[in-house]
Amino acid sequence: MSELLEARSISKAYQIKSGLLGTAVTSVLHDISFKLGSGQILAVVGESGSGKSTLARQVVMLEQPDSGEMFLEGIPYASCSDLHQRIRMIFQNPIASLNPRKRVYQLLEEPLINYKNLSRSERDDIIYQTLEQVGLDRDQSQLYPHMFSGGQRQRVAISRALVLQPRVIVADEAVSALDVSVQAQILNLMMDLRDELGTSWFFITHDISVVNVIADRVMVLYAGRVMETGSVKQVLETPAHPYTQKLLRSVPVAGNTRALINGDLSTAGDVITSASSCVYWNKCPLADSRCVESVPPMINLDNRLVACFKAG
Amino acid sequence: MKYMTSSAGVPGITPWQDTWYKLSTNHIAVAGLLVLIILITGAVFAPLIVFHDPHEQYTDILLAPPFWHEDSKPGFILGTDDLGRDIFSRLVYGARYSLFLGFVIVCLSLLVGVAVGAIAGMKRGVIEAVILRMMDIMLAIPAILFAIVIVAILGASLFNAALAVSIVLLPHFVRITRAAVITEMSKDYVLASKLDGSKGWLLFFRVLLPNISAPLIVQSTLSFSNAILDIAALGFLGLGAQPPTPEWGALLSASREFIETAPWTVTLPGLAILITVLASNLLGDGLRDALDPRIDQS
Repeated sequence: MSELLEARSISKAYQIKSGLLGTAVTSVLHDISFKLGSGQILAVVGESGSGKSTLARQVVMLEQPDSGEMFLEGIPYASCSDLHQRIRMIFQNPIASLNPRKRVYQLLEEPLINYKNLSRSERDDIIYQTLEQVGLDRDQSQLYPHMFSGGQRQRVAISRALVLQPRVIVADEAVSALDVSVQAQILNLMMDLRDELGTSWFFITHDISVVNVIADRVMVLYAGRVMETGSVKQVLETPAHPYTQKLLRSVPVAGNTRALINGDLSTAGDVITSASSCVYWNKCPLADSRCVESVPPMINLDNRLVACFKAG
Repeated sequence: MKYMTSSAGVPGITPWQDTWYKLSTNHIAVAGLLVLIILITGAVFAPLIVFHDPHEQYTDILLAPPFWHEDSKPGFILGTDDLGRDIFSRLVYGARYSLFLGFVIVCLSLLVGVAVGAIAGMKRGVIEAVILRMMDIMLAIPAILFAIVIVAILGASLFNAALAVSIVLLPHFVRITRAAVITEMSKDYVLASKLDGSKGWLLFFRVLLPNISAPLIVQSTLSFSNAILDIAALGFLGLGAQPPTPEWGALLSASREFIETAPWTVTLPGLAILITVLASNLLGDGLRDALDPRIDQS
């Protein structure tokens, strides 16, 4: 059976104007492949600047990758006419991503008007049903976004994604701006929606502890490259890549100040991307001359992929 | 104003209610709004207010002084002009011209300016550069001079004067719209709306316009006073309203020679212009404070 969503070695580079005539090219994504099964939650983790949001923009087809191909249910993106209906996106900050001058009803109505040919009462039914699914009252559909609390606002954002009954929802740091108790409610909501509607989630976060709660599979990005990808259990319990190990060590644990202090100060420094070496070599405790001279291939280690010579 | 509280973010208050609340705490702006409402009511119900036809010449009472003067004639509260016409009636009927023309001019400028500005802000690139340079050229010529040139080309009439003034006011609307569109386009909610399938003019009217309306409303009120002023100036120069028309600028111009013998014939139309322009400027400033989110934070 083909996967619901599949990316085959997509790369993306941006041209940056420098000086009067010169343009510099920065490679943001490099050779990224992943698969997302139906009803699965794939978490993408990495630090800021690792290309997570750029990847999200490729997945929802806000931008076209320079090379590589994306498939939805085995069909290439280019021949998917209703892609924006079947892959929806939730943004990090609901205050910024919900139009302040529109009532919730109008926000949910917008995609229905644009994509579906429905009567007013059919739209009503869908909108109220969707609001119910995310735990909002139909009375609240007449309120403006600023009248909600942070958690409710993110529920509005989720309902807006859900209203077209998509197969995949891309959540770009969707719970990062929420405080912990609200975060838990929203994560529970996402998992409930996955169970009830079979929605797949492409879940972008920088928070490993969230990954542990919600995801089935995880993909670790560093400098636009996949470092390690596999099931959550495998990757988080026995990380194979030095970068994943470092990420896990940096997670703050309540009552354990030592771990934070031990979180590698030695890794400070710029990311050096080069076509002929491992991107992580200058921060890696295990790096040797081989890591500088050649790019490590993806090694398959009991069903997970690791981009490191030292793994296994 | 220092202690002005904001109601933004209070549950149950819509954005427009919030604006109205903030405007109502600004007494000067409310005063400006009241004066404008009185002027508009007066202009609309002019026949019910005045005692005389604005064109009727009472040849036996020329240049009668206003009511506070001992030589004033009963029934002519603001006196008469050199042809014996009632100044009060002419001023009230003149308000019809000034206010109506101001409104039409602003609407025309707003409509064209927003459309052109939206194209510049959404298309960017060469189109934007061409539009902006054209607006820069228009702004480089002094407004009244530019208006005179346009009227000179089109011919002197009230309609052509109005057209000229709307062209003169156009660049402000274009630039404001373009700047606001560019700012809003970079926000997440516009991206979200694009994913929701809104694009082109649909995106502009449904998504962007409600969010850029604040600076446009402010600019409209300020342009309204400019339009009245420019129309009066053209009228004074004889390029706008033609003599029998009781337009304020034309009234000023017609009674210019009596400034020493009958100063009220010049002062009163001038005062009418001053009050109208002042009122709409005060309202504009108040709206700017009430609609500007940056003032909210301080």
